[in-house]
Amino acid sequence: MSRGFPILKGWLDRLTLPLLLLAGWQATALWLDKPTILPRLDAVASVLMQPTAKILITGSLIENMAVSLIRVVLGFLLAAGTAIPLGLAMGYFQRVERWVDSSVEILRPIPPLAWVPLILAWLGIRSLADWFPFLQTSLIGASIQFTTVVIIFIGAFFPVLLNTIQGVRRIPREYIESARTLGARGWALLHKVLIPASLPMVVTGLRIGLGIGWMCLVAAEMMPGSTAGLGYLIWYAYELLRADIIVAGMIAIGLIGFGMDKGFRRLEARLVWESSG
Amino acid sequence: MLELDRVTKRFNGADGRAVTALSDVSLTIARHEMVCLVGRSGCGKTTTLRLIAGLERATHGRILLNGVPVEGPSAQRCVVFQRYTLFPWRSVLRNVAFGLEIQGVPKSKRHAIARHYLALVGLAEQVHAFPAQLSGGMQQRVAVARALATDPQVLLMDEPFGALDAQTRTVLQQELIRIWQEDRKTIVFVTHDIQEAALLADRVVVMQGPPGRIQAILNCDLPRPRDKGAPAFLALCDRIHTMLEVVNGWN
Repeated sequence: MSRGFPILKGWLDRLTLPLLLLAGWQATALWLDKPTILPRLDAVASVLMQPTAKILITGSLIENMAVSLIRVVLGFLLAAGTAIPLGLAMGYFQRVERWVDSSVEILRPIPPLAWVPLILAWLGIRSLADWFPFLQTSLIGASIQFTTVVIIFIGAFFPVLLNTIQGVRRIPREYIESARTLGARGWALLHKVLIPASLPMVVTGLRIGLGIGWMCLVAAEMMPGSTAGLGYLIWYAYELLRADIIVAGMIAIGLIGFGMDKGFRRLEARLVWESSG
Repeated sequence: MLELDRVTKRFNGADGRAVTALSDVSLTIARHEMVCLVGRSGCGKTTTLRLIAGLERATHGRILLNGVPVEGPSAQRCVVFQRYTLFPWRSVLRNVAFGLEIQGVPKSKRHAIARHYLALVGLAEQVHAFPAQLSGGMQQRVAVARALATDPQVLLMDEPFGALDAQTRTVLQQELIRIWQEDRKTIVFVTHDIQEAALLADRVVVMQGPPGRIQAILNCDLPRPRDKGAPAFLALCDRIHTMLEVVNGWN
């Protein structure tokens, strides 16, 4: 029977464990009856189902998601925009690599969150609204503090850098030499050979960097100075013992992270030339 | 005319000591000539090719193409390698058009030229395929087409058929002779396969090393296409073989 519906069977296999876990959760929550420790699933669902409703005195779920997403995208773009050119240079020119490598290796093991106090001391709670006054009135604009953006930048920077360096180093020598004997050099060599040849590894680096940036962000939002975002939301909900909001916030964090990773994996799959038609 | 004038090449070895890859090599190759460099690994044949390509710089001596010193890589001296020859992110057509694209030839024109050379190597149907979709032999045909598309003065081939199976190799050797007879490029062809050298070359340069130097130069004036079973061909192979054995001191 199930032989005839392999797709159905696949889904059944995938969904069985999650459904069992959810059922177990709900049963335990009902039996325990302590919503501050283990919220009922329907309470969590009702938070998720009203994403535009104001939560406590912070903004709505959607607004907090938007704050977090804008922060992560800004920090991520900043990281990609600096790490890719530096990685290309370090991968191609041994001289640049010798210059920069030791600094990178010393800075790399420092967890991005260890930078929070210093960055707070430098930048305080200044936000985008300090530069663009018209943003002052919106919760989102006023909440894009530079501190969090810098933390994401630090988190995303190193994976992008290291993968870009590797991407360039793993280019077979023959690609570059063929191109040079066909007359390519300088800028043409860079953008017609080095960049396309290293692109699959660069995109892998971007995917890992975005994932790490996202995790750093949520943690950074729990630090002092934060006034919005999903991390802030679940921390604030903890102080008010609202476990239903905590769990809803965690689910939102997971779903966004999952979506970003999936998007980049699709892009990676398209860049594997071997399978492209 | 391509001239190597007392060319020496030293590399810094892994242990920091200088290694002489090529020692005082002089060789003159005429226009339209097909020359094969043979010898076992370490004899400097690939180094010689890379120096002509401008991918390496001679430590001493000089290399002249039509009287002009070789100072670096140029589309005048295209190389066909044994592996990783094509850009996997480009279609066959765009691979062949690469050199012309670098020169700034307009798209429609460079694609027309690329199609011409793909037809010449028998791949008119595969223009939109990607390298990974082609067999090894087809990929090397594309590489030859790409090297020819910029109309270089010299075609440099570094064991281009070395990774192919025997049958495909035989077909491509015949194809190369056919193309060369139409196009008459100067070709410098590196191989360790005696039969391949005897089949292709006007002259076979037997090298020994390290340090690499020229042991002997044999003229092969057999008419083409050469019959691998003919006594004269076998005698030629034997002469090359003897030279290599003398080189390696097995006699």
